[in-house]
Parts: sequence; structure tokens; C-alpha cells
Amino acid sequence: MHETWADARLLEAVADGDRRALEVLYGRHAPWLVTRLTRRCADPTVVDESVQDTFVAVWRTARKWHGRGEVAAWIWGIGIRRLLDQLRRRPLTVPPAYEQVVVSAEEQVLLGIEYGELGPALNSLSPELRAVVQATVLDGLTTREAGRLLGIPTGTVKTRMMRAKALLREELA
Amino acid sequence: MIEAIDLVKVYGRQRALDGLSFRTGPGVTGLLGPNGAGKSTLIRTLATVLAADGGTLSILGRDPVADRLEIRRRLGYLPQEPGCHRGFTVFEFIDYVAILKELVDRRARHDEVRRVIGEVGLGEVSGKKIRKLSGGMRRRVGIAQALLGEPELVLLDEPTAGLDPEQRLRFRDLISRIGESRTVILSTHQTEDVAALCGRVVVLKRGRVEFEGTPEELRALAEGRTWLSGERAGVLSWRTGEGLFRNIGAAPDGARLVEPTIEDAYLLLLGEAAWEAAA
Amino acid sequence: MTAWHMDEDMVQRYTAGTLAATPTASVEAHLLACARCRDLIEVPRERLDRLWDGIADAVDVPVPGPFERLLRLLGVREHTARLLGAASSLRLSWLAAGALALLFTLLAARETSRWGVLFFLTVAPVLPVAGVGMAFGRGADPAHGIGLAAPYSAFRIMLMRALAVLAATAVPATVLGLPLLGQTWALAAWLLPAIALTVLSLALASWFEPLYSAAAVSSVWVLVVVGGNVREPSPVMFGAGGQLVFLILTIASGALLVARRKEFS
Repeated sequence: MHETWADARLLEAVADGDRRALEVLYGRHAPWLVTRLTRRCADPTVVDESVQDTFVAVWRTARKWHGRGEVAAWIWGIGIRRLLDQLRRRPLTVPPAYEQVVVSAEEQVLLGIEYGELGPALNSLSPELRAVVQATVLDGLTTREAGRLLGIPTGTVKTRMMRAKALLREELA
Repeated sequence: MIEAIDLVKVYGRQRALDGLSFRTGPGVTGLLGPNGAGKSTLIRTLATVLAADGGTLSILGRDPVADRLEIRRRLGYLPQEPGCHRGFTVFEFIDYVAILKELVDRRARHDEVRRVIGEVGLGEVSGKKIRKLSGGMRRRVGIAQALLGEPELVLLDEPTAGLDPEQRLRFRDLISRIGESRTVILSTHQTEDVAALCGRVVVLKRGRVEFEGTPEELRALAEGRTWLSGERAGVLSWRTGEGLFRNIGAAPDGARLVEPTIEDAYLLLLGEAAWEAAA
Repeated sequence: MTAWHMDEDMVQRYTAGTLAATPTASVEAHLLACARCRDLIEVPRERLDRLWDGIADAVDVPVPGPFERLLRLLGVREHTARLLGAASSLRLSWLAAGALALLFTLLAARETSRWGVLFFLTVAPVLPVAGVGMAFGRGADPAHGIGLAAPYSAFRIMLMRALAVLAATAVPATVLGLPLLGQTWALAAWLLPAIALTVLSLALASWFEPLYSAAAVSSVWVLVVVGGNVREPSPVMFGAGGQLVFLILTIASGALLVARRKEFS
């Protein structure tokens, strides 16, 4: 019965103390969350703890999701921040998800679909600039949080963002 | 298991228990009786909440006055008013009772709480506030806490009161299952509960035992004393759906006898006691 | 909803971590909006189950309230803190209300002259009595009926809660009283009456419902103070002689309480 419910309804039930609803949400969202977090941090123990903290947080703060946007996006917002909490004392090199230089035409098309005009233009940025853009745009982090994830000071994040925006504006113009 | 001889409990001028004797063992025993018969008083005495004023009582082979703590460690009790749950969730409430039952170690206690929640089938709502649950589910919370610590004796005071028929049905399943490995004593004034559940039944009236035996033996009391007729006959008579009257008592010659139910026998017992008092 | 979906090869590479960065970016944005593709992502069952067990554990466990956490900070053991914290009058709302009442009386004490201080000295002892009345017994305890048949000593719970209530009143009274009240003797003068009345309420609770005995004790107290001072308000009854009386009352009530302790189980 719970299995047929939409995410929004499940979340409402979770806010009401329904454990089964949480279990179903977990079944739907834990796999991709684990995978996506692993792309930000290779250590499986850290990812495990982050995922557990995430769903406990979902349980406790379900009321705070105000029906805006996708539940998955909300869960990601919680998940990445839990990961950051875990990584607080372990600064990372640039996560593999952010590295790449050569892009195929097909990949360009997909980028375009997901990110609009911005997509293909991202490609022309250097890895450091792309990393900050992806951390803020892709993962929805604040500049400070992006700094923590990438292991660079907030000021550096800001300057790189500005440069990236300038370059992208040139590209799109 | 439980042996009571001539129990007496007095409240002011009223003798709630007036020389009550019975014994019982493993399985489900039903205490049947009208309001004021002493069912609650007896259950509370067995739960060591009250101390009898007279007579002897042995619970689980122990003396409730000298060995009260040891008895309490081995019993589970669901009173008519289990307490006000306020904002507690199912888990929180049962966890609280678990502390009262001296389950001190947190890990072990939480495991035990989860176990009893699972046993009554409330696993999915363990995080819900009790006040948001239906009446049937709240009762199950009450039963769950009575199962903490795997007690040998489980006392349920009117556990099916106020439940609708479907809830009562599910309840009986649960209680039957519990009774398979423990001594369960439950009080009720519903004869169907007794018929469906109990291996033994004790009928109480005004603080005394009117009958003690199996439900079948109880039913047999009304054998040959239950009949149908076109008009009222005898003291205990009521209209049935088909326009006839069902009567219990000494049947006149040639009366149309019918198979008695437990309820017939129960009414007969109560009725006779009333006749005796009037005589 | 976008017009594309992940193919098997993509799923396989993304899950294995070998999908290149750029398509990964697209995949991850897509997954936030597409349940169908989310279902294609697989993680070993064993790992998912293990993680869920940890979540279920944490989710069930009740979150301790602020008072409970304070008690634990003070070194009280976890199960004792839970027992104390479950009482009606030890919940945050109650404690806040009590502190507010104290604040009010202290402010009033500064304004007027002799009645002012008397006001404080009358009301302050009533607060712990009220707190004790609401700390256990029917209506205040979450598992009253059940607790009567439980092994844990009801008498012990009662004493612990009474102590907690007294402390919960004494601390704000001192903390708020020091800056607000000029005469510091008043800060000490209310304590013994408070203790005496509280112990008396507890002793009476062996006969009557805690709520009723608390109400009775409070009413009689207020009447006595008001009656004794209606002609000439003066805090003399709180002086050295008065304190001695309160001390005797405390000892007598305490003895009575101990003698009647069997009644609580």
C-alpha cells in the first residue's frame, strides 16, 4: 500500500510518525544517494554514516519540506551536507565527479538538456573553475560549503566563481 | 500458579471480595461477572496493587505480602486506565514502562521494547503519538507493555471494553497466542470473549465465585433449562428476533427446549443469585 | 521531466563509478527528477539492509527533552533522567511558567514595601508544592496504573521528582532573586517553608491524591499568611522563630512520610 504512494505523500506520513513510509522512501532513494555521495567521497564508511544521518534527519525534519520541488532534491540537500559534516576534518582532493577535459558531442547534448545554455559552455572551463561551478550549481552548495568540499578557502571559491561567470558570459554572448 | 482461598477485601462497608476462592494455571482464564462483582478488585489484588484484608493468596507460588517484588518482576498488568499518554509515541511510552520494570541497560531495553512492539504488530506505528492511534491500537500498546520482560503471568482488566467487533476479533487472536505459553487472566463482561478465548472461566458475583470450570461446563448448566415460547415465561425471558421469547429457568413440561449458549448459563447463574437474595 | 532516460550501459558505468564527469553531471541532475531511472540504480542488498538497521535504531529512540539533557549533564543516569523528565511538572513549559511566576513576584517585591516581600515569601513556597502535586499520581504520570504494579519503587520516584521540583524552583529563585531583591535574607527565608510544605504535601499524598493534598496545603498556607498579616503586614513569621517552626514541621512531616511509605507502592 505504501509502495504506491508518491514521495510527497510518503513524506507527509513520515512527518506523522509513520515508520513504514520512511522505510519505503529509504528503499527508493538510498541507492542513488549512496552512489552519488560515493562520487564525492570514496570512503564507504563515511558515505554509510552520511546516508544514515540523512534518513534520520529526514525522519526528524520531514515537516520542514514545504512541497517545493522534488523530494529527491530535498534529500540530496540534506545528504551532501551530512557528508560535509563528516568530511569536516578530512579535506579532499577534487572529487572525481568534477574532473574531465574531453567531452563528446552526445555528452554535450545531455548537458544542454539538464543545464540549458550553461551546459555546453561549462565544458570550456578549466577543471578548477568547473569544480566550483559544479559544486554550487550541480550540488546546490553555498560558497562556504563548496570550499569545504573542495578543500579550498571560501575566498578562492568566490574568485573562481566570478571568473567562471565572466568566462561563461563571454561564451554565451 | 494462582491459588486463592477465602479472599476478603473491604472498602468501608462494602465487601468487594467476600470469601473468594479459586485456582488456575497456564492458559487463558476469563473472569466473568457484572459490574461490582469484584473482577477489578481481584485483578488488582493479583497484580499486588491491592493487599487482601483476609484469606490466603499464592501467586506464582509466592506470597504477595512477603515476596511482592519478585512477583512484580514476573507479571504484566494492563489496568482499565493505563495512564494518560500525553505526547508520548508508542515507543517512548513502552520504553518508559520498561524502565519501571527495571530494564536498566539502554541497548537491551530498546531491543526488548522493539520485541514487544513486534509481538503485537505495531512495528509500523512505533514512532506515532499514541493519542493519534485508534482505540484498538491503543489497547495493543497496553498489551505490549504488559509483555515486557516476558512475564509468566499477564493480567488484563477489561481489555476488550469499548472495542468494535472487528477490533475485538483481532484482539482475541493476539490474546490466544499470548496464552499459549503463559498464564493469562482477563476480566470481561462479554460472554463471547469467554467462549472464544478462555480455557477456564470463573464467574464472580458480589465478591464470590459462583462458578469455576471450563466454558463447556458453564454452558451445560443451562442444558435443559433453556426454551422458547410464544409469550413471557419465568423470571428470565426476553424477546428474540423471530418474535418468540427465550426463557431460562426451570422449564415447564412440554417446553420447546433449545441448545443453550454460554450467555444463557451466565444469566442463569446471575439470575439464581438474585432469586436467592430476594428469597 | 526531461526527454531522455538512462540506458543500461550508462547505469552500469555510473554505478561502478567509471562514468565520465560530464555525463555524470547530466545523470545526477536527471536522477533528481526521474523516479524510473532512480529505480535502475542498484546497491548491494546487504549494505542497504545494514544501513537501514542503524537508521531504524536511531529513529525509534525517543529524543530527550531539554530537562532530561540537563539532568544527564549533571551526571544523572539515563533511565533515571527519563523517569524524572516524564513528570508533567518537569516539562519545559512548566519550568518556564514557574520561573515566570517567580520573576513576577520578585518584581512585585521591589515595588511595594512590606507586602511586596511578603508576596514573594508567600508565593515562592507554593510553586514547588504545586509542582509536586503535578509530578505523579493519576493524571500527571504517564503510566500511573501500570506503575502501581511495577517493581520500581514508586516511593523512590516520588522522592526524586520532589527533589527535582524543589531544585527547579530554588535555582531560578536564587538566580533571579539576587539581582532583583534588595534584602538577601528573603532569598533564604522562603526555602525552609518551601521544604516544609513540600514534605507535608508528600506525607498527605499517602492518604489523598497528590493533586488534592498539594492544593489543600497551598490553600491553607496562603490563608495562614494572609490571615496572620492582614492587620499589620510584617515578615516576622519568617524570622528566626518562624524558621524554627518550619524546621519542626519539616521533621514531623518527614517522619510521617517515612512511616507511611508503604502506602505508595
